[in-house]
Amino acid sequence: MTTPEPPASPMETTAILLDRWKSGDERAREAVFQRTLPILQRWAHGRIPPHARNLADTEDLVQVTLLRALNLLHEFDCRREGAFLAYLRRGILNAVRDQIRRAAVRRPAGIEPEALASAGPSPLEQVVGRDVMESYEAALARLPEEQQEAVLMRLEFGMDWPAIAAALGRPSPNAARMLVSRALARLAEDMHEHRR
Amino acid sequence: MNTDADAANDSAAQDERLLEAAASVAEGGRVDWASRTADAPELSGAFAELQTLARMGEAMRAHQEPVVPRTAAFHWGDLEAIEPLGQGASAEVWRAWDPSLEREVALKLAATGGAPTRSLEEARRLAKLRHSNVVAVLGADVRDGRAGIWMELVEGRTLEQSLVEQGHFGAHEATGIGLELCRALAAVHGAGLLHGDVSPRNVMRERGGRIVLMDLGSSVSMGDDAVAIVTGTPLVIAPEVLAGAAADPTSDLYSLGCLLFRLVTGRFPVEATTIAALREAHASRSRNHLRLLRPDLPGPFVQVIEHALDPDPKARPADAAAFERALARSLTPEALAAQVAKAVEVRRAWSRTLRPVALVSAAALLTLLVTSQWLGRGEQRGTPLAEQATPETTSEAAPPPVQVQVATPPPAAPSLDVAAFVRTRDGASERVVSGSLVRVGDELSLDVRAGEPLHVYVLNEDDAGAVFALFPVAGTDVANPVPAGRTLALPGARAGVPMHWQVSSPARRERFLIVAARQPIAVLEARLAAIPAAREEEPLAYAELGAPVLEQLRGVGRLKPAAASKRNSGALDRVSDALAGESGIWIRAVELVHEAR
Repeated sequence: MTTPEPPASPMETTAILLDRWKSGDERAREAVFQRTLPILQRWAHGRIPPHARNLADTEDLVQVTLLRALNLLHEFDCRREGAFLAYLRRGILNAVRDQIRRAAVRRPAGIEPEALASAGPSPLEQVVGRDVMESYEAALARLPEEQQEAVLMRLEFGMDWPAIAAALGRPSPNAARMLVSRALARLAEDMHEHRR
Repeated sequence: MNTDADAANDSAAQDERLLEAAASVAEGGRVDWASRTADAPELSGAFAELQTLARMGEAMRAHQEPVVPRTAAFHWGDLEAIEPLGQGASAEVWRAWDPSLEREVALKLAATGGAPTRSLEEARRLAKLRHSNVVAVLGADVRDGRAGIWMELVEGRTLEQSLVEQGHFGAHEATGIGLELCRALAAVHGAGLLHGDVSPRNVMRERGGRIVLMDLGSSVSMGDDAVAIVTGTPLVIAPEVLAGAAADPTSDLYSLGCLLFRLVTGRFPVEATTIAALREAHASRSRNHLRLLRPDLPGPFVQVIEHALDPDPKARPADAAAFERALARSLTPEALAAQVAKAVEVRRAWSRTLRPVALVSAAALLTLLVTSQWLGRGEQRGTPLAEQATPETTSEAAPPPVQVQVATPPPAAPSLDVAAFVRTRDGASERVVSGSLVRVGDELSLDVRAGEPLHVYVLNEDDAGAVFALFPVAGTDVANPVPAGRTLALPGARAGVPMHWQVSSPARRERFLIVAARQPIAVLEARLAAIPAAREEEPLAYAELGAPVLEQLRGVGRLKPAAASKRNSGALDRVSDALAGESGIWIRAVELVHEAR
């Protein structure tokens, strides 16, 4: 039997909690876990191909990636929650690719290898197509880090303005709104330029 | 200088317009892209990309829903009961959240003190059914001393509510509903069940238009001792059942006739305020007549309904398929084509909305076909619709899939000693192997021989990526686990008549996945149970439509024959790949090639 730990204050940003965890505060680790897991799980439903969800339960995949990230936190310079989420997003997408590669090795006789080379479309890819997703990912990578995080938090994670403001250290929801808008405008221009 | 200044101003104005549009996208609001592009054609490219980003945002939001309030009223096992949906004498129904399926479900809990075994038995009967027009039971259990079943949550309005709010239905609309309910009843009856209360209160029209037969709480197994107990809505109960005779499929068809009668008139054929008066009215043949209440209705439609309402069960349509055929014939070809096209759209929308994984996705390229033996018995020419309808439905004796736990598999993988397709063409049968040719009209069966009882699954995919579950299938004499020691032809026989799959649609190739395991395969079972098989095509309509109507339909989405292209969604591969990681599962892929056309 253990005594429940007091919850982390909602005023504590994830970045602060991460710092506390780095300093050895176990409660901060749990708080980050509890705060981040639902965001990532919701996100995973749109971004992980069904094929990959067959291979490893979404929830497991997200949890494992999050736990790994928390265990390797000392290697990561986390200045903002947005950076942490972007880092986790990348980690989950990499984990999915690993799963697919491993599955391809195990493919049964008679199943064509080219069919396994692809992860299959994620729900998002089903909507916009693989080419567009590739163009989006490439353009996203060319944005300044803070703008990348802004786009991810709003477009992919569906976070609200106060949460984005807190995660990016912006003074107000309006400031976060402006940052996301500028990032989207720049992203669209860049996608258009590179697709011409 | 002025030119430079103008250019700078123009650039600033463009930036402003782009930022405004981006802000709208960021908010997730509606954007009039046509107007914006007309105002600033030089930004059309960037606007197009923003539009794409907006669609991505919408898609992500759609996949993140539903956001379920975490304020559960109570927990029943790991299900979180959120809000009550209804209450009866013997049960209450809650909207609930199933964390393992990550979806909302309807949780029906037996009244406190209710007999748990009854609910479980009911659930096991219902879990035999998987059909897009029948509400899907997801599982059943006794938790915290209380029995419950949880099922697909269907959001929409009952037909009775629609009738009250919107008035009488037209014949065309009622016929469309009738066609879907005939398919639902064919599935129910094919699984050896009766519904027992087919009334407008027990049929939902889901948002999007899908017709769903609900509340199979009155359902009973055919031959069950309880069949004579009147449990349904009295005004739709067949007279012979009301008089104490055992219910049978034709009594459900009588009820369906009453339902359609009510939709177009707002009345019931036989009306009374007490059971005794109702019995008396039936006995004296005192009833309302459709022709008098709605003289404007088309004659063929009226005849079909009156046929179903015949007091003599033997004079009604022989089965749900016969009822469906009669309804289909009551429509003009154009109206029937419209019905089919609408059903395709509805199912496609339903499929997109409800199915997170497209395991069973689309057109049935293979439809069940009875052999010529059936036709030789004097049945009407053409494939009986119920027989064709059944690929959408599967039946098995296993308990509800969510109850099935895959045991730790034995170390040695199981295998089928024989797994060979047999092609029947022009009366001649021969075994075929990967690479063999098939063409439209060929009949296929699968010879299997297992050294031990095995659960066998057969899936089919064409080169357009349409996947269909071919086995297990409802109503045949072979069910999982397939018995050991003898060669069986899947999908088995129905009433002693061997069944075949028929190649009914042109494609470039047909791929098959044969899967066998000692235990039910949870990943397949759960998905097939949780997600009723979508049928975006209408294989049963094909036989009835004839070439002229078929031609009209060829432009309708997936009804169009698969183009010979390299596109292959690889859904079968994904299934195969998902299973390949599991030990104790035997998989074989077979590919048959369509003859060049």
